[in-house]
Amino acid sequence: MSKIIEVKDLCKTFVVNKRQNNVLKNVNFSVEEGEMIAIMGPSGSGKSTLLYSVSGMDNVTSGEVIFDGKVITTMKEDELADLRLNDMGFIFQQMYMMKNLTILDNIVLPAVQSKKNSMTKAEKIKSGEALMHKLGIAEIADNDINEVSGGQLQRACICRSMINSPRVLFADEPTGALNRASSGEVMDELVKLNAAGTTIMMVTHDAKVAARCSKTFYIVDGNIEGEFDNSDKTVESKDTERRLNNWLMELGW
Amino acid sequence: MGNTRFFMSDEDYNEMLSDESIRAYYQGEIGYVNLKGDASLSDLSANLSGIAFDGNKSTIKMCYAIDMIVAFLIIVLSVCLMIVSFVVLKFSINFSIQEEYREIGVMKAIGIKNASIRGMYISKYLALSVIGAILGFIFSIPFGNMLMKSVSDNMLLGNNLGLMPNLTGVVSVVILTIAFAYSCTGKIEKATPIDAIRSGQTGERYKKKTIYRIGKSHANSNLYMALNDLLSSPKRFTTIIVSFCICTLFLLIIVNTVETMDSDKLVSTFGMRSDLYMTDVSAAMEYMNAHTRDDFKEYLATCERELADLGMPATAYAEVQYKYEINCDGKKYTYTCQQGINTTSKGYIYTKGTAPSSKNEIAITPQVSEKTGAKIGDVITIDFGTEKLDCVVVAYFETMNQLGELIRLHEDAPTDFKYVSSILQTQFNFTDNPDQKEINRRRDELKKYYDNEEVMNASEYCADSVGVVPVMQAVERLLIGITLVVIVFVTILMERSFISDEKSQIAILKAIGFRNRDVISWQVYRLSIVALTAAILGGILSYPMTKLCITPIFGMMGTTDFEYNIVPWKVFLFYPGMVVVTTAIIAFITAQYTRTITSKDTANIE
Repeated sequence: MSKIIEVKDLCKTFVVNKRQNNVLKNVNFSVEEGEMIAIMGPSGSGKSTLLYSVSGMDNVTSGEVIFDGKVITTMKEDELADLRLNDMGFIFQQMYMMKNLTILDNIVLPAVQSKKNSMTKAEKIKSGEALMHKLGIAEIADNDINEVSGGQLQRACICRSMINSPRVLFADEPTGALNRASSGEVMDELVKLNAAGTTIMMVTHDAKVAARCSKTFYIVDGNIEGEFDNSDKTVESKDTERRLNNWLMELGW
Repeated sequence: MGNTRFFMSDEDYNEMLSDESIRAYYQGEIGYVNLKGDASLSDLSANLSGIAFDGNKSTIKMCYAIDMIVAFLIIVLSVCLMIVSFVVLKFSINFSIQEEYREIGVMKAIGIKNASIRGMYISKYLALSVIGAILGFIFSIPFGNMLMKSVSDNMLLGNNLGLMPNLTGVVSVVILTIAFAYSCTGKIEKATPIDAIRSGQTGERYKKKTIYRIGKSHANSNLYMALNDLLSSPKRFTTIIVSFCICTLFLLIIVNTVETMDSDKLVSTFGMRSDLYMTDVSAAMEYMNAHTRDDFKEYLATCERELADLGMPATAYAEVQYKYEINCDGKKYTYTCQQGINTTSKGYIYTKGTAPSSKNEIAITPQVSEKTGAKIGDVITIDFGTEKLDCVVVAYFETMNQLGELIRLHEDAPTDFKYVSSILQTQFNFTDNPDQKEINRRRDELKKYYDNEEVMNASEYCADSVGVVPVMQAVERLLIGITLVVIVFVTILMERSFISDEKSQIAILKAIGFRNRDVISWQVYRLSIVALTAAILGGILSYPMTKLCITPIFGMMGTTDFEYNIVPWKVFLFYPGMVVVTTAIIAFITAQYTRTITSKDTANIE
């Protein structure tokens, strides 16, 4: 497996009321293609900032993020937009979509916008429908975004993030606003996507969710305090969850 | 119309008459009469000789018809501004409520009554309107005084109401704003706490909005989103389209009016259409005083010979006005009667009936008909001085001469130059059918030949007769400027409101890979389509609206039966284009603000 993301000495500093706040402090890690990474940590530890900095959505104070061999920390905004459109997918805690478009049109929108995606518009729509079918929400294709449940909407967001077949999917607490049942369904879909080859990097507060990832980073005060490897698929999932919980407790979770 | 009239102060009057060259031509005095009881002005003037013009208060007021157009345009502009202000106010109140919908829900959930929540908004708008009104009141004093001063200088009027109009305006603004804000906040009462808390963003609710699907669109995604927004929220955008349409219409009504005044469309309301018109005051005054109709005919023949010698064969003719006493249904009046020299009455335009075909047939204007009660088929006795003739009214016609109070005589009517009150321009009609370019060349040549700058083509004659085209053009430019400023303000306000409302959607678009320029194009397309729709509607409605608003004003001046000079490229391209381009440019500049919203703002979505 090759490295798809490499983070070197990443620092991110906010200045609030003339006070310097170092949110990320010389963070270093790498992500192999096909991995599913969970980022955990207490509130305010810098999880989301790390995700946004690594995905190029936020600029960094110093350090480097290398995505598929290209340094994205020095890229211009338009280049980053192209990267987000074609090579990255995003899922957010709030299932936000364009409110005047139907679910299917929201999903297809990035494909229509992408010049790299060589499919015809009809093929793009078919591809969107296929994704919806795969995630079990085909019946809401023509609905407005306010006509569906939160779980359905989050799965629609996953479809949108997948429409241009991204190399990496970034997810910021994708199950944070969902109930347990919906949360399980969404995680099932993410695991399936990962199994199909998509690299996933997600922020979560839920150890159950993290237990389904191949690796977990635990971040405290802007530093990665530990790394939990549960890539061994021969271990029972209940056992993995228990081991992860123990590990998290050792770190002060 | 046709003659320029001045009201002047005693000082100006004395100064003017101190000029010998003016005094030599000065023929009359103006008398002011206060009538008592049943006495009528027409009876009085009919019994006096040498009255060149008599008019009651309302007729004199008509002398200010052009000022009335300007005043009307300013009133229309004010009304437009008020409508636009209320549309904008409604828009901003709705946006403000929308943004705070969740807070409203929370307030409702914890038991705060609707009246208190509405009261909170009303208090906010009361405070804003009071601040605005106080500022308006302060500024209105110097501006009002400035305007009153200019009016007083020209019209000998003063303001004896003090600050009452300003205070009334200020109080009205506050009351209207509060009443309007109260009606707009009605939405608060309709929503349940949970509706409001959900802010309409999540959960099951409301009716389907989306009707335009991406699969059916051939546009790129930015244009698609813009069109889809318009089709999904027609009510929201209709208010903006209405505002822009009012602005466009207002602009086009002014343009159509000025273009008509500056064209030859009104020429037949001053007399017979001809190629060139020459104002020769000295000749007119000379013939009016001591010559006969035949002498004047000889003068016209001389002109024809001179023109022929210059290689521009033409017929020369003129309109002569006489002041005659008439008797209709036993009542006496004095009216101006107009007769062409070297023309026939068949050559003029009549709105109803047939042209007079003998000396005892006449045509009258609707104004004369209204005042005397005479209709087609009735008999009016005209005292021509040399004989009294019973004349049958055979037609109606419209004119802007004498404010529409005119009788047209047959060419054989027994007129006498002793009773001439005015000789209008000498008119030339070329017999070799030159094109307009050649006519203009001949105009310039005749100016030199007669050493007279007042040789005009039909459009120039019209503009000269109407008399205020340059003033109207200046007013047009000013009002166009004001209208565009209104469009600029509305566009900025709307665009900022949209950006504020769509901050989260913009952040999401950027997060999924839309570039800044895509987001800006989406915003610009949307307001440009709104402006384009408004401009097209404005263009289509401009002609009927011009007729509706302006024809009654021309009617007061004596004519309603005329064609407006609609310049297609101005009405359908230039001015609507100006509205659309202004909107697009301002939307583009304002939409640059979306650059400050980045993909990381998705983390702050509520």
